[in-house]
Amino acid sequence: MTPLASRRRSTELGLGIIAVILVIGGYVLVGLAENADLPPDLIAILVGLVGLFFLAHLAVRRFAPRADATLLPLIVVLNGIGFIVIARLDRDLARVQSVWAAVGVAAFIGTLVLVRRVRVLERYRYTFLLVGIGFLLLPLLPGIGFSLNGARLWAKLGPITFQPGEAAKVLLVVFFAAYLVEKRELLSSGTLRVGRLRLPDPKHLGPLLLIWGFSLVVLVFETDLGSSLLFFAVFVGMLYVATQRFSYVAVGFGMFALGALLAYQLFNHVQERVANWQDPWPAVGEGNSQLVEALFGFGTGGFAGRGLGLGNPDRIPVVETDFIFAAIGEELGLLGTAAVLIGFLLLVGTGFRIAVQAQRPFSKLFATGLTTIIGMQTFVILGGVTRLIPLTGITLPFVSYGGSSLVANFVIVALLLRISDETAASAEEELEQQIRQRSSVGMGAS
Amino acid sequence: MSEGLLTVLKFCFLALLFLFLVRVVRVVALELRAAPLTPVDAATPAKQRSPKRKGSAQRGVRVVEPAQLAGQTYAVDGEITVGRATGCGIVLSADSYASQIHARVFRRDDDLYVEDLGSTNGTFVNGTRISTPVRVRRGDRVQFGQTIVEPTK
Amino acid sequence: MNRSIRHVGWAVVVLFLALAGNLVYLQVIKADELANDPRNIRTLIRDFSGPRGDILTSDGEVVARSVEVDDEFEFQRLYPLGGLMSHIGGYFSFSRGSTGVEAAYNDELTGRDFDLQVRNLEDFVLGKENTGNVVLSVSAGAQRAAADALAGRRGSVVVLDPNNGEIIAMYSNPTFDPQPLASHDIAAADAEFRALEADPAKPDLARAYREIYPPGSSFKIVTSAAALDEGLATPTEPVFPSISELTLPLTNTTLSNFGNGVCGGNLTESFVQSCNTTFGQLGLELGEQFPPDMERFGIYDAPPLDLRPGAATSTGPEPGSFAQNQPLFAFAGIGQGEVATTPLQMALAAAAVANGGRIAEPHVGREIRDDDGAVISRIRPGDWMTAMPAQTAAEIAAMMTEVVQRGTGTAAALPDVTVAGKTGTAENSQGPVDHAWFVGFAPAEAPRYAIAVIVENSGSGGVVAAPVAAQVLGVLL
Repeated sequence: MTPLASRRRSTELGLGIIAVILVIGGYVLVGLAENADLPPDLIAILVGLVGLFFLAHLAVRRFAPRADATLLPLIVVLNGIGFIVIARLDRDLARVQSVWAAVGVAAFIGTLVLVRRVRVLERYRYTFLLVGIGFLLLPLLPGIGFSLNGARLWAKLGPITFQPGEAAKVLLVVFFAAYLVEKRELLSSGTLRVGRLRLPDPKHLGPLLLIWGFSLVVLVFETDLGSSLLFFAVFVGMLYVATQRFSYVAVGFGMFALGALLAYQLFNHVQERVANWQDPWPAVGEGNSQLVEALFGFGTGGFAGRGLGLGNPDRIPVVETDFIFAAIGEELGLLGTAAVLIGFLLLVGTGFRIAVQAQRPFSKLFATGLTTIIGMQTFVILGGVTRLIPLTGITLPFVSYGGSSLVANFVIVALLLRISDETAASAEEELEQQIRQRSSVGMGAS
Repeated sequence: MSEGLLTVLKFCFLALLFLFLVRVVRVVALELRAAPLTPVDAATPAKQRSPKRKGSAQRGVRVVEPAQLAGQTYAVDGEITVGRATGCGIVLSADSYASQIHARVFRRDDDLYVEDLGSTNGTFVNGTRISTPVRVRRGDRVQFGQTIVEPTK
Repeated sequence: MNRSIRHVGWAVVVLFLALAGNLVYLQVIKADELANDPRNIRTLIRDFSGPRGDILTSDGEVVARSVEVDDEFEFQRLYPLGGLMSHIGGYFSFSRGSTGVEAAYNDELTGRDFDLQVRNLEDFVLGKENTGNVVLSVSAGAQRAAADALAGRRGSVVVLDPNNGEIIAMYSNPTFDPQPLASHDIAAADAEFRALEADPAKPDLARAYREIYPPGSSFKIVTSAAALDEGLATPTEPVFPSISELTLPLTNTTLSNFGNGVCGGNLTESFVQSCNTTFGQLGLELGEQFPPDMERFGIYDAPPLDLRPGAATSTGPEPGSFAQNQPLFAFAGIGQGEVATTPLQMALAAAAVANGGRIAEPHVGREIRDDDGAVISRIRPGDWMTAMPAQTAAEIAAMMTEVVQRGTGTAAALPDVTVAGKTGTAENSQGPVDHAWFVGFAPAEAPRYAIAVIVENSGSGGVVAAPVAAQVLGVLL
């Protein structure tokens, strides 16, 4: 191992050990609050968590030894906090979630093993596009797709039900990064002057229109506002990075606004969401909505929270998925929510750092796209549950209960680590070359 | 279980959570910017290169100056590069007089050598600027920028 | 490309900062408002399912206590005294919140009070719940005496210690049993609440401190104090004309004496005979000076009271309205017209006379004790108001003593104790029959109890209310 690799891996190990202690501590705390006793399955959880972390760590050591050191510990903490809160809400769900975490780690390792170079992905861009679109539309197929909680996002293949949109996100980011690398010259050169505004040539707006169409399909037929906003924001961001043309952002947001306005005019469920955002407060005798209970939860939690297991987050219907942040806010207070937010900020910051440091345009765009998915998804759902923006159902990456999203996010982080490793490897190579050039004596050990 | 005790434990949990985040921030800061000649994650460089030959495994260099890092040792098994670049074996990111790739320390036939790699401010052995690889022994003072190390054996 | 990647990165950071700002807004700035929103029942759930201290009377009877039960709320609240104490102890309900002592002393009862929390580090660590027990100054014996004396008639009896404001009895008829309201069967409890609210007799109304009535002639205590303080009269001077009715300025209405009799004489004589024409005349003479004098007794205000909800605000003629509304000031002189007070407020007026003019803040809580019976804190509020100088109080006390000795209040006399008091017979809008009042204190020489009695729509104060006061004071003394 090179000095850089061993430094980063031992940093990862050190941070990971703190993360594991933290998660086990939180799990014990939940058990103490519930039954004044250690949780019965503590040993199983301990072994499982330590095992999963070390497997992931060893995989990084073996397959991406120079990769960034903070990403894996951060997702252990975020996923761990989610697991603690889910365990506090419903032990059966926690058991299912731990299985999904194992599947996620398997996918993480699988990604590191299979994707040895990101450029391999670049080559299969159109395959990814087709598969991605297929996944996106899968829930609409009769017999396979079905609705749950008002959104048609689910597919059932044999005994497994999952949200294909989660996989589609990653696949489409691959395609888009590759496509933009290929076309970015064209996209940034053609100009159309409208008054003082320089607009992109309409014929290059094809991809933007394509994605706009997809977002609308998702919005209209799957009634999933959150994913639609997410797709669009990610792709506009990538387009901007590729072309460095702000006009795309302006046009993109204009188109999104137009789409959103149309959707608002045409669809009841969109109007309801907006109305509930403007005035969520129930009249006397009316029940409290999810959002209102979440706001009460945040308020009751206050600065320091009521303590794990001591609040009433179960007052929020289906709190373990979209609203899990409100449960954290109630029981761990602003200290807890701020910590989670900082965790995401560090995760996203590292993602963008990896994008900036990457050498090849595809890697840069790909890392930007992957990071923006996590960043925007976090913003959309946290903004929704705190009533900053209208609520749209979407999971909080790594924290919320839900298998498809967890597995997809593990894959995203594995890909970021792969890019980070490649960058560091080429930097190391360059360094070695420089040393070789400067040195008058032959290299290598005796 | 007492609510009071649970509250105390909750604060312990939150404290550990923030401790973790602070450590992550420190790692990020180290990556982004300079950090003192920390063997970025304490002492590991001395351990990770598995010794190929017994006896000589302990051979390396120990930091003499700056004072806050004095005593830090690095094993030299084969070679170790010195400089401000993160890829170096000894990272001198806080030493503004050191170059990105400053020098290297390597071993040949059980002896330690120091070689300057075209640094701006030079590498000195016992006060003398070197231009070719120079053999160093225990007691010699080797200076890169403002950092001084000595062979351990 | 790096520049635009940084832009995207900063955009995400800005969005995250907006989230952070919103979190601070929700969890710090608006936190209390959200936590205490009536639609947010989290705090209630927490109180309802936790252990809770006892509420005890001064003579050691249990008003409320909690027992462990085997359901989701873990503890059931019991009210062994039922309706006898419900207007003071209140109830502790899941869906409708709590009232009375249960609400006012919630922090102490749940052990959330700071004094209780930091008492014992060992308990804190071991998880022993330190709930506080609230010991009241109210005695179950006095409450029973009041209930017996009212004998089922609508009305209230308030007895308090004029020296320190401790309430000894504060009973109202009709009353209600709080037990079904605290049921863990939320639907059954709700049905009880609805039945209670629909009852035309309003048993849930704590008449003693939540309802205001015209005080009638018992208010002449306040009118006399004002007249003496403003120098309009002394106990002996001037001599008011003996007439049967007073023609009121600006109108055709007249103010007549009880039974249309002829009366008059000096202030003492008019007070002892409860002569309306004299006090109507004084109301007119006081004019705009009258409202500030009433204010000193606490009219236009609600006395502080350690119960939730607290006492109702008593009313008087609108200050500044004398020029347009002179007759209302004449009626105010005899406790009619726009004057309306709670029975508690009239007991405080008597307490002012008994206590040299000063009114101590009324309260039902005496002390907070821990589980072992050790006193954690004593409840000792100070004075609420100074109604009049000690000299004035002494002069009125003398007049009130004469009322019971030879005037309208002889039915309140006790064999071995000197009782001082003032009767009232108040016309009211509730019905054709007057409200009967007796307001006084005993023993007159060294007062220990101030009392106010009202029996609604029952006749004259001297006949109906004075014997009730005598019966209650007889038990106490």
